[in-house]
Amino acid sequence: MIFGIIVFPGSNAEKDCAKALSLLGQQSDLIWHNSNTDITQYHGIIIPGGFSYGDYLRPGALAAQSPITSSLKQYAVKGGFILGIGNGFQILTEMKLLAGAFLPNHSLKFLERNVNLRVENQKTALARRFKNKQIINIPFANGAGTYYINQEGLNKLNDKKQIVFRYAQHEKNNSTDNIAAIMNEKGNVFGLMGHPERGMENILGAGEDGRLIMASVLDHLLRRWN
Amino acid sequence: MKWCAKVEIMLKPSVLDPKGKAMQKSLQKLGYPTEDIRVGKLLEIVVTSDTQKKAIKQIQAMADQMLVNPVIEEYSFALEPLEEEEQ
Repeated sequence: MIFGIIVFPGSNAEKDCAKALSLLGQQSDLIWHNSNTDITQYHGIIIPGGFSYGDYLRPGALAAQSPITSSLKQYAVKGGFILGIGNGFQILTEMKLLAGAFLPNHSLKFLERNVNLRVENQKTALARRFKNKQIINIPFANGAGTYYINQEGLNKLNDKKQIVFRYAQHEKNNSTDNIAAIMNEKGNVFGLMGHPERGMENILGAGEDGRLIMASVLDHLLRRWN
Repeated sequence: MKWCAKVEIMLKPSVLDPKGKAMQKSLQKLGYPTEDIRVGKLLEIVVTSDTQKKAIKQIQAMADQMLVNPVIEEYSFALEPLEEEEQ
């Protein structure tokens, strides 16, 4: 399969994502956000982490107005798979492809460490290789990683089983209902506040649960495209 | 003619503002009786428009499309005619 990885000024995890995919035997192209690339040719799209447009205004706010976002919206409507990681998740909420918004971490610190997440919905593209309630461990790196949604929005996410991962109980995180990853109602657009592409090889010291997330994505897409 | 809008963006009251809280605590330690601080953004936007009504519409459109995220923020603005620069 071949993936498209969208690059904005200030993205910084695009090559990690490409490397993660190649470790699993998949190809990818880096796509500059201003280009006229036809993204319908890709089996899936990844919006990588980083600090698009320097996080000016709000993280993801300016990237969400970029020329490529109209084709991303069409791609999503047609059922295409999109995964936003870190800043990519923030961009997807600013594009309104995913519900909610992000706020600065309550500690006001940039948090960079591994966190434990609990699998909430195994029957989704990010979690096929796990079991429900399983605790997984993946690298986490963000300055505005506090997910916020109002009660009405939260009820909807719960009702439609759109919450994919929550922070495990002992993780002190101020995100609404400990949400770490969600999907849209259709189940083809995902946001994950954690970096699976950095947890691909044990030798790097961040475990390999990230690899299982990426492998789940491939399992999911192979079913879709075969 | 030119208009200048001063757009004030604040986090909704229901949203915790960790930056404001940090400042409030620091000021309290300095002995100031600060009850609460909320941090917002002030944008000064200059637009060209024939009428005030159109200028207001433009600013509202900018806020809706990009400047304000209604999930967490609210905004207000004041619009004034800008004196033309002297030639």
